[in-house]
Amino acid sequence: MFIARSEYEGRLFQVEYSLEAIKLGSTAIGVATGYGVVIGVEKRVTSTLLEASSVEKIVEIDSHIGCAMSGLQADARSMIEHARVEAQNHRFHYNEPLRVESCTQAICDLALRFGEGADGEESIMSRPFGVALLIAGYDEDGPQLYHAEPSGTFYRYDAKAIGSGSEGAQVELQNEYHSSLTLQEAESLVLKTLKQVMEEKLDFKNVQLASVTKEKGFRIYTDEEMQEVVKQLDNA
Amino acid sequence: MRHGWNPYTDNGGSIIGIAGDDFVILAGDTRHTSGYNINSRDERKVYRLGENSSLVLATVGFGADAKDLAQTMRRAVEDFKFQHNLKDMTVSAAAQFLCTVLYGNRFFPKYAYCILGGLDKNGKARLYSYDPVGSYSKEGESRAAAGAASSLIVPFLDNQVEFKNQYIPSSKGTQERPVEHLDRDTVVRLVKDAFTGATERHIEVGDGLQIVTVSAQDGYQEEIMPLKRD
Amino acid sequence: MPGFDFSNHTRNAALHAKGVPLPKATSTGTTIVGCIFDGGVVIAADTRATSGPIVADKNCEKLHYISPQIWCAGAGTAADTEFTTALISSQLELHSLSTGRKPRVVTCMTMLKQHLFRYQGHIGAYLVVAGVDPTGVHLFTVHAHGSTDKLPYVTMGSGSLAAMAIFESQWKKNLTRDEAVALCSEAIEAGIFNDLGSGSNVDVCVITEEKATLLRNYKTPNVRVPKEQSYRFERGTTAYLKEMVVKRKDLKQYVTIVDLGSSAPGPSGDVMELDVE
Repeated sequence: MFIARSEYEGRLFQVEYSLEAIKLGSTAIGVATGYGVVIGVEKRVTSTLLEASSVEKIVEIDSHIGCAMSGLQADARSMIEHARVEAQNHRFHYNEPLRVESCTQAICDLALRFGEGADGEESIMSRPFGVALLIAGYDEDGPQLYHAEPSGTFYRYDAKAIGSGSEGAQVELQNEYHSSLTLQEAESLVLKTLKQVMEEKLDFKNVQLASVTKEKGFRIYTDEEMQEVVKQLDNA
Repeated sequence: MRHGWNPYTDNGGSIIGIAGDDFVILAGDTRHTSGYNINSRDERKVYRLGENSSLVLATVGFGADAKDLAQTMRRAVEDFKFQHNLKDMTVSAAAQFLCTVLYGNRFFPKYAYCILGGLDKNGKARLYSYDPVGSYSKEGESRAAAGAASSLIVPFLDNQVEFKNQYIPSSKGTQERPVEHLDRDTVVRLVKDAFTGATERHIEVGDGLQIVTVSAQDGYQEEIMPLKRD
Repeated sequence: MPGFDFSNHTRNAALHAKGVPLPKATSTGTTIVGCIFDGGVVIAADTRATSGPIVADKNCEKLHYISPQIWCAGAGTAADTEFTTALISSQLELHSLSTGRKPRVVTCMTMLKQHLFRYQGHIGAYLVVAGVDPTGVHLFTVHAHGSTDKLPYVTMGSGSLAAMAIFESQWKKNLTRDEAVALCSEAIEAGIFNDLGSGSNVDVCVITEEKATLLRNYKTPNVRVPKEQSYRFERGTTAYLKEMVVKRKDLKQYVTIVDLGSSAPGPSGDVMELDVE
């Protein structure tokens, strides 16, 4: 396994630092309803010269699972690659979709593979991941939302915000969430919350939404759909 | 002609599986042979894949490979439970998994014919049968037979389970007798007659008959019935 | 003897070289035994005939008549044991007729071994020869290649080891007739249950100075169990392509009927029942 530096009281500083790093990342929000899960991210389009569509913070893992990230995007790539392989392997071996929780567990299994390997074997990573994920999916147990941390722990949430605006956003979610939200209500709750915590003014280019439903599986909103939902938010 | 060592032995015996509506029956004789010898009169060929599982696997062919496959499947089913928050492996998932295990040995095959049975999420019976390198039908089947006496048993099952070559008497041979789900007692009777019949005419079949029933109503049941020992 | 026809040999050898398999002969993968007792000899056999792993006959006869007081139990290729014993039986009868003496067991055994040796093992007959003649009680085995043995108790066939296990553990000198029958029967049963090539029933033949007694199906320890249900099909279940009903009066159109009359010569077989209106 690994031997991380642990100076005092058994604390793993490398992990704790990575946890801190996420708080600097862009905000990502997920809301689970009985009909599906909505996840949204702020894109932080830092320059007018930046092509907004190249900022990819929401990605597909399998047709029924997707995720939003906050933190070091490059780190997320290898986690997502791992998750995609696990999902495909599961289909190959069992002729059925991977469960959302199992997918989350698979991702978290990767998280602690840093440091030295046991018995001198080569380890893959020199440091913990600097990214947190909101994993949204739909399986036989219905719509689910999970939060996976660099520490390798994960929890299931009804609604969760991560990243720099997470503290404020989580308070908002706490107040607004109820168990009978529709998907549209979840959509606007995600957008509204993002709007409150974003430094830039929210428009259809600097946010991205995605949803997971039983019928359509995981879907990233198109530009047209984003325009539509942002317009509705402005009208409200 | 040089004669190399042969890693396989045919240990004889036969297995069959019949799926009803909400129950599935797998059965096999309990004789284990090599050549003209009887190694055991009580070597069972039907395995339950886990203590509380609805999954049942019957294997026949080379005894060692058959047993190894059953053990691999048993472990996979248990592993799956731990890997997926104590959810049971579904029968269709087990079916696909067995296929990948068998095909994984494509170039040094497990010399075993498998029949896998179980109940799906809705409590409906599912039955799958495999060749030694993993070929199987995802749609499943209503009946299957494998092993030494399969060529004797298959035509009997075709006629009695699928009603092949049976026509509605009044139709003058124009209308096939429609297929219907058989009840449990009938299926058990068919299984017993298939094996007593096979025992009469195949030297490698006999000694005992293990009948395993998995049903939505009564769960797992196992019965051992004596067969002729000659 | 007229001898065998070898005219297909070259053709068959060529076919075999091309991969055409030899036809599978019915083999009496068998248990046969013999045992001498005070005043006679017993031979016994199982009744299973096999073709590969398939049971070809559940109640075949492996005890062959040679002469009134010489009988032979046969293992190996069914056709070979059948023909060889019939052939020798016939020759021995002729021999007996021309010499005016009762046939002897040693004569039978010698003729068998000479015949089998000539064919170098290609005639797959493995025999237990037993009988009583003016010189006494005799028991021999004859192998397909022509070798013979003379012993107080013998076993042959695929079940020979199972059967011999019984003899080696239970045989003793000066057995009575009933003890010998019981011992041979038990030896055959050991073959029936422990050798897959043997099965079904026990046939026994007891030969004494007075006579030979064939105890066909002396034991039947493998009676078929009744079926769980009836498999009678309702009339009309089977499809047919064409239907034709022939009335009795039209029968002459299809067959020639010759009235033999009650005084007509020749055999009058059973009257055939015609299942027509």
